[in-house]
Amino acid sequence: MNRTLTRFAPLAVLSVAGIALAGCSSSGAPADAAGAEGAETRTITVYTSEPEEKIDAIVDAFTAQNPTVEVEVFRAGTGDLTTRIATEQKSADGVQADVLLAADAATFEGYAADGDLLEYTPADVEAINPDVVDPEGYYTGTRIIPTVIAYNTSMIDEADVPASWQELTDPAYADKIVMPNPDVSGAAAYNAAVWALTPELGETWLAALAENSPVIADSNGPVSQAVATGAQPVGVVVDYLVRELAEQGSPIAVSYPTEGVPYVSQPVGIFANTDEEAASQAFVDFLVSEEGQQLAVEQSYLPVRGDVGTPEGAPSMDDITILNPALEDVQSTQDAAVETFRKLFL
Amino acid sequence: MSSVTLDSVFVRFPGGAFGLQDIDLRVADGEFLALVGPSGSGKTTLLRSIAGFAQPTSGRVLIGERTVAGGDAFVPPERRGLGMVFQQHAVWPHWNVGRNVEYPLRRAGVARAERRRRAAEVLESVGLAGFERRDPSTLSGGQRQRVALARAIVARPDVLLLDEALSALDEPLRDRLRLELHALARELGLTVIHVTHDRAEALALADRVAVLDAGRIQQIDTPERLLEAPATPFVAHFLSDATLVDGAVAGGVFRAGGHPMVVRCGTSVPDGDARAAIAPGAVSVRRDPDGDASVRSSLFTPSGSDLVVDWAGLSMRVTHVGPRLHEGERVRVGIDGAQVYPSAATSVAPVGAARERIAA
Amino acid sequence: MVAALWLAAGFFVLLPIGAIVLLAGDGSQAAVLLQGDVLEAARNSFVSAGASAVLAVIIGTALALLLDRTDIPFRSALRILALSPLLMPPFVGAIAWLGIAGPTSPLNLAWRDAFGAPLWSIYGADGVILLLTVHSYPVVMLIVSAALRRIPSDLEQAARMSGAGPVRSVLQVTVPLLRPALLSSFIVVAVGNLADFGIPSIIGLPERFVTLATLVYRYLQSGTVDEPLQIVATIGVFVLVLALIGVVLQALAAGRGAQLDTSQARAERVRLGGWRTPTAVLTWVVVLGITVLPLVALAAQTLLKAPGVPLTWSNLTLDHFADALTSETALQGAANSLMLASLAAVVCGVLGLGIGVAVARVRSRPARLLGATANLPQAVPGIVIAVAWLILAPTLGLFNTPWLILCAYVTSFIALVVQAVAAPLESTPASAEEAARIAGAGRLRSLIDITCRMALPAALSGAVLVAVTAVRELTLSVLLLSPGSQTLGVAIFNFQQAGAFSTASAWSLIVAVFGLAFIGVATRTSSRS
Repeated sequence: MNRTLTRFAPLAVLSVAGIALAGCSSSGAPADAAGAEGAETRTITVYTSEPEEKIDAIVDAFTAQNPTVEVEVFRAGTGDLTTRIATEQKSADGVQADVLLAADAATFEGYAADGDLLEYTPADVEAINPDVVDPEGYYTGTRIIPTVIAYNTSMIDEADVPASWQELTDPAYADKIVMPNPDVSGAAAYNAAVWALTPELGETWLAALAENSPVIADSNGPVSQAVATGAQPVGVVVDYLVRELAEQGSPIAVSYPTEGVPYVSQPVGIFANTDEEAASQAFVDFLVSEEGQQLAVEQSYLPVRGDVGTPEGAPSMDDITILNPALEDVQSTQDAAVETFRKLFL
Repeated sequence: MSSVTLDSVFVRFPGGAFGLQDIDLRVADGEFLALVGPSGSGKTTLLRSIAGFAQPTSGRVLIGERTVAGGDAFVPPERRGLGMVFQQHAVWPHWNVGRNVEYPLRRAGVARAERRRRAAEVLESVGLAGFERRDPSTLSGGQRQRVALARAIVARPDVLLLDEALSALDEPLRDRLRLELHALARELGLTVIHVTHDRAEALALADRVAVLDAGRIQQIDTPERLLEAPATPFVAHFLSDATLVDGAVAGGVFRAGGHPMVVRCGTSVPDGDARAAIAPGAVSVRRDPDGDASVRSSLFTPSGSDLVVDWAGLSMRVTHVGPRLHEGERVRVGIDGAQVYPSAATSVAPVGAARERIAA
Repeated sequence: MVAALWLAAGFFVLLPIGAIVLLAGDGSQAAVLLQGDVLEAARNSFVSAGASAVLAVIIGTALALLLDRTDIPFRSALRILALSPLLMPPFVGAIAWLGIAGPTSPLNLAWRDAFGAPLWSIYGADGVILLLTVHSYPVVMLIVSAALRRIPSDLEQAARMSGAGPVRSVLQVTVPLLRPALLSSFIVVAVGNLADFGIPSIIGLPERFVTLATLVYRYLQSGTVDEPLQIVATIGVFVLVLALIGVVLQALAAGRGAQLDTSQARAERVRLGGWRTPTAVLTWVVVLGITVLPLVALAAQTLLKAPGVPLTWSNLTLDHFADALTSETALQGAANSLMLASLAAVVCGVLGLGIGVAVARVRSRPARLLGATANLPQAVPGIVIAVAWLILAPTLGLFNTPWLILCAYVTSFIALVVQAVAAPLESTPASAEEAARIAGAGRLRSLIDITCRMALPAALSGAVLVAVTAVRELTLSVLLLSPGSQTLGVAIFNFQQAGAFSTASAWSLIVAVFGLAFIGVATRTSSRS
């Protein structure tokens, strides 16, 4: 009998724990259930490609300001997010998210054209960089994220730092470059289109780059890690990651290519079938508000407002050349560009 | 307490083989019946038919006046009011001794206090007083078997079935438990049916013994009669280790075929082919350097030597009282008597034994 | 009762497998099986599964023989350590080994500084095979040890009496007798490794070494193909057929084994004599390298201040660890994992107890088939089960809920409980129930009172095994996850994929340490009882 009891104990503990936790997590049910009570707390679901710690910090700051709103976050690469959204749209319930915060405007243009997004202009729209605000009001940019060349400072001398995109095709860099995968990273997908559209680069440049067999990591995170540790001394990656790692002490630095940098604005938009319009709008407002943008600066992003300064070590927007082809062009050629990329590099 | 009756019971196995054929048996109220036979003889099948774990293909089984199997009726084991002790005690390991013993009473809806009392009572009667709280895994084999016995009788069953209940125990323990079992059965007036492969045990304990072979009852009789007058050669061989010899009877004398043995068997045996069964105790041997038999093996027993003697090519079991004979010694064999059975007959009443001593 | 059990078994086992076969059924996507990517992924899967199985059998058998048949010192500690990879989720092992032999590990960086190129990068096919081997040799050890125990030592002793030395008698008598066990463990490991997701994903993808599991994941996640579900279902059926072939082979192999009576005599241990110390040292080095070194690597990766800085004392910090512990996502993931694992354990425990009892005691055709049905998912690779439930999800209204993962867990792990219950029951004679019948209990009653009660401890340990397995699994939950219902495995995997290596390592360390602590407790309680 005692033996049965000692064996019983772990299972009993497990079942009690299980049922308790089931109670806890089911109380955090998605927004549709919460609406019925008419009670204080509203829950919104955010799909985002922001890295975990950053979105956690944003949510914490937001809920501190808006204690009646609970935010459920689902994080994945932009490519994975769009697939999930597509799958959900096919099902009876439609898209489960209220807010989408992902890498590039072209994706949002697509949803806007399909009528999936809610029109909403944030309160602070005046203070925001007009380049990132959708004229039709379906989405708003929240950060400026250029993609730059990063290099490992302990492996590459100052004199040898690659200074342009063209230089990367030099055979000296064979097997030394790492880049993100456009199937996963929205920024990488956007950039593929931008490079293809830039006259000096285009498909010839992509083909030449492919000759150097760059390693294709999944997303920007692993790319920055690879450069910092020296696995590949040169990488094509978003700038804020480089700044962050350099701050922590990693031997990594940024080189702004002379042709110019493509950038994404990480827009935020609200899905039209949301049940929580007010709460979602509050979230959008927060992201582009002064506090929200100050938080972005603390997280090493270039902000979309002029009144919150810039991160340490970052140049101002005027100091760097931007590759900024027309959005419609990017949108219409993005799929083809990604396909080209896939054929060449994967 | 009641009687057990089997009426023309046949049990057929799924493969087509017959487990029991034409069993007619009546166990009287309070009788101790032993079932013996070689493996596969059907003794366990018979017991399980009474218990309700085997359903007869035809025939009836009655407990007392109640038909429990037969025709359309079939009473499941739990409602037959029996007690059963298994070879591997089957004491439940997840309950202590008390709960094991109380279980039949629980099923019968007896109140707790009463259950406790009766369990204690029955445990005492099997010699395990005060063992209620013990964990079965801490008990010895003999103690477990007693727990099983206690459990079997606590509900005051009509009939007690023992399925090779002592076979798994070692010899001294078996001996002791045998006596206790016998005493208990007498005391409670239980009808007992005891399956065993141990002939000595069957003969020792039972009021009557049924000998089974190939699914049929060969003979059912008191132990004395079985030994004195076995009904068939098989019974003689099985119970007494009698040596079987084929030959022919002519004018009241049996002559073994191709062998010097000659036994007088009286005129009641018809002429013709016959088979003789010579009990080990009915053979006498004498040391004789010119004898035509020799001792093959000689095993010592407390009551004399157990010999195997080779007599002109025939191997005979002999019980010899007297100075010990050794392997290889030449001896002379004498037959004191034999049971002779005509070969043609299927079931035979034993014919009178000839008591003449024939010089070989 | 059997009918009710059939209903449950049908829902959890037959329904998903039927769904996947149905969806792939019309064969319209069969052509996809011949496409370049799929063929390459299939070849990679075979090669990695086969090679790792062979290596695992060699290593596992060698260790089993060393531990069970020789007098190598410190056997019990060695055995626990050697079995520990069982308790570490494979993808955690992958993350850990990246810290040992990844291109950016201290070892490789130091080597590169000295010699210009890394010593060996774990990325790619060789790394995948190594890691699969490391994580599957314990299974071989267990199977072979059990088989060793069933070989009566009399056989070896007879060889000794006939003049063979100790080593020779082991090699010439014991090992050939182990052949069924070796074959059986090879198949078990190969089938299991065929469908692993975590290791090929973390170690294989950076060098474009794609296996069927990662291919399926990519198809589903990135929408690179139309009709992903149907294509994936076709691939799933293909893998299922392979696995079933493996199971049939294993059954044949097991049946061929000679039936031996168990002997009570303990096997005499071979004296290693002069070889004792070197063998011990070598074994300890190998085992420590396989089991403790990854943990150290995980710790180093977590504590390092920033990637790329040299590994010195001044560059260590607990900040990342602290951040990892407070990460919302990870904590939510851990909570989800615990909840799902506990619920799965309860469901499997109850259902498995019923099925196990029915299989061992009810002598009817449906009951025996029930057992086979419950055991069927063991032969089905995890990805296939996940895809099957994904297909069923919208129809059952389970889409995007954590209960989908729960269903997949039950399908996958019910066999653990059924086998834990049925095996000991089958060797217990039926007289225990017959005694209850005579005592007045009806058929069902005797099954409940006696058989279920007797089987309860087995069911409980089976259920605990389910919980432990579920809490650390990745393959099922990565395909079935939904917003808000990530499991810990998925959280760690996502950290790794997003480049948050220190967080991934921190949580991997926690999972690994918990696993080891558990095995320590489990072995202690089982030796006490």
